[in-house]
Amino acid sequence: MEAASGHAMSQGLLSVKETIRIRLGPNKEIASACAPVFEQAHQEEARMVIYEAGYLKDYLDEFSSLLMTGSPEFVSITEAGRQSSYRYARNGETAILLTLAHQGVDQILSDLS
Amino acid sequence: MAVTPDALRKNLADLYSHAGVSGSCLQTGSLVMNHDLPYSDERVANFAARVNHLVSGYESVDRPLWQICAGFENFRLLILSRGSTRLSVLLTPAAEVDLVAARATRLLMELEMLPTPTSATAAPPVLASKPEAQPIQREAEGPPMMKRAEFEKIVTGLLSRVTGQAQAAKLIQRAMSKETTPINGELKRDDARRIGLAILDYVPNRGKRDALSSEFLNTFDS
Repeated sequence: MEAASGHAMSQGLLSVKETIRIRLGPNKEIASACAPVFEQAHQEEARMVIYEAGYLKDYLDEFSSLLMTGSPEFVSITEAGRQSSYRYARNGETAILLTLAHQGVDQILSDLS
Repeated sequence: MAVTPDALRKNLADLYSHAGVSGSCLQTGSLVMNHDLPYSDERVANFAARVNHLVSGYESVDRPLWQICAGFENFRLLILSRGSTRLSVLLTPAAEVDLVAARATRLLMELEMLPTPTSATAAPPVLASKPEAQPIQREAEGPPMMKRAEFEKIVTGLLSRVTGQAQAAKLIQRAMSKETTPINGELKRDDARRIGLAILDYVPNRGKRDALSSEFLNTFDS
């Protein structure tokens, strides 16, 4: 697997809205999301973001196994001009939060709940 | 990146002063430079390789990551990246992640700015070793003697973070009494350094012990 490309990021979802929320069901289908996610122009990025949720979860599972830290619950990655956060529920649902501003972990977890 | 044990110890001390820091792993690419995670070196090397794979994966698609914060049932894992250097910090859930992240970022920046040691004086890079309390060799030392009261104040101040003042005083007294040369009002700086580190060696928690030892050396040599 490869990381989701940053190609579409600069002119992507966060260029139209500073905070993007997506909720995925157990089968990774979109259960709810902000309006821009459904726009044709952002379909590819939305797919990438959903793909990234699984991509990161695979790494978290590996880290969990190596470090014996228990089940993965969330991950937040910070890069220039973007923070992508994912919260994994036990029932298989995933909450996704993309923000332009970099937030602290407590704030992220609050926003993702 | 050239990292001497002393420089690394100084920087890690700052990180470990935060409650909830359970361990850390510093790596360049996949190569573990230093770790004190409670796992075998082999397991940590495997972990470091996966961390590098993850971060490199993002870098390869023009998304250099600054920070990854992962939450698990029992721990939180903070991974910071700067250039090819990655610093992973394992935290308890009670730790203030954002504060530790800020410190860890500063640590990475300071490591990045460290001068490369010259070949004549270069210490070998730290490879998968734990920071051990060692005296820091300085070019310019302070006065050769140190007042006993000043020494006790420094050590008591540090020890009081992990034990009561009475216990701290007892430890100091015991260490002083072991000295073959009677210590009255003053003691040699070299002796003070050695005794101070020996006293701090009684701190049972390795992370706290290393942090306090480093802070002691910093204070002592400043």
